[in-house]
Amino acid sequence: MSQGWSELGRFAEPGLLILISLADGEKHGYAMMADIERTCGVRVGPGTLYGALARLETRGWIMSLPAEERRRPYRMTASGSAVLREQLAGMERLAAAGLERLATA
Amino acid sequence: MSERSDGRHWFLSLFPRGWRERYEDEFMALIEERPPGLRDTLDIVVSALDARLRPRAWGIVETAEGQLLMAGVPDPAGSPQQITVGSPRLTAAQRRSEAHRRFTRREFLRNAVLGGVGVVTVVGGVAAAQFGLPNKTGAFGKEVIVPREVVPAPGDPPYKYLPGKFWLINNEDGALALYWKCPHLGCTVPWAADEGQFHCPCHQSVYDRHGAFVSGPAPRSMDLMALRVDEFGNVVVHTGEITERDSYDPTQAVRLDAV
Repeated sequence: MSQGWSELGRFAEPGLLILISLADGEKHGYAMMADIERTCGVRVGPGTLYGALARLETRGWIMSLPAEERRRPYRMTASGSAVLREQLAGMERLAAAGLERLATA
Repeated sequence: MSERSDGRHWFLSLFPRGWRERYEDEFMALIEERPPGLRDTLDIVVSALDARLRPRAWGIVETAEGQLLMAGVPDPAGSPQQITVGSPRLTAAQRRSEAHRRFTRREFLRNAVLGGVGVVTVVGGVAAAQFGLPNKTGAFGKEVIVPREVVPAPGDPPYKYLPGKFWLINNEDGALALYWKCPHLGCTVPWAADEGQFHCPCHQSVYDRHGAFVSGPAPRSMDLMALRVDEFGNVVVHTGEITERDSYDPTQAVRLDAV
């Protein structure tokens, strides 16, 4: 399912942040940036944001909705939420492994 | 495009055309809500260069017809949807006028200067990296798109299109894509700007602005590559379709304004 994730390159982290941001509902570009900064403490630049959006969209993980005024909202698709789930589960395993080693050290 | 001259969208012109058609409006809406500082400006510049270097990764795909499309996603019903580039943007100028006021001249100048430094740094870095790599001319033999923005005006010096190995020159009769290989012994023929003609340094073959033989040991005029103009005004050159010719005649040229 996460086929195509590794090809995201430097857009993998912004892509993950975007999917997390869209997990609780559709958002347009600025709302995503603000949300990511607030909840994850990471600032995603506008160019990087749109580079990641294009990549997520071509993979079918998000979809663009009709623009409201000029802002275009994006929505996570079912395959996007599956990919996000898989990525987060992987990170959870990684975190657990690291914490366990720290605890026993 | 008028937005280039007033500077508001100078960085948008760094992005490939296909990207702009699809994202420009929403991107500008974002920029207006959050005017970019130095870091954001650099981020935009780097991303735009990345989009130009790897358009496919950005979902800008070229169809068999040579049309630039942004790949879309399947809609909920499951039918594939593609957003064709070039949809009319009705009140673009009106919508942009508000953004203009929020940018101060000082901010713009600062961003432009620093962004320019960023471009030079990135381009220099890329050039330095490429210096160490073997030459790759992957696009040769296929159709390549010369963006409208770099197509020379009639009478201007020709545009050297490296991956396609040709010169694109525009004259009174229209444009020609001249295969840069000298018909004599195969040297790459450079443009001699001071002479206003092509002048091969190997054996002094000279060709005029039409690539037509003027003097020297060459057996014929420079070879032509087939070209056409796409719906956006970009010049599409078929680098695999090369024709030999003895001399120039106006039917070889393709008018660019006729689109």
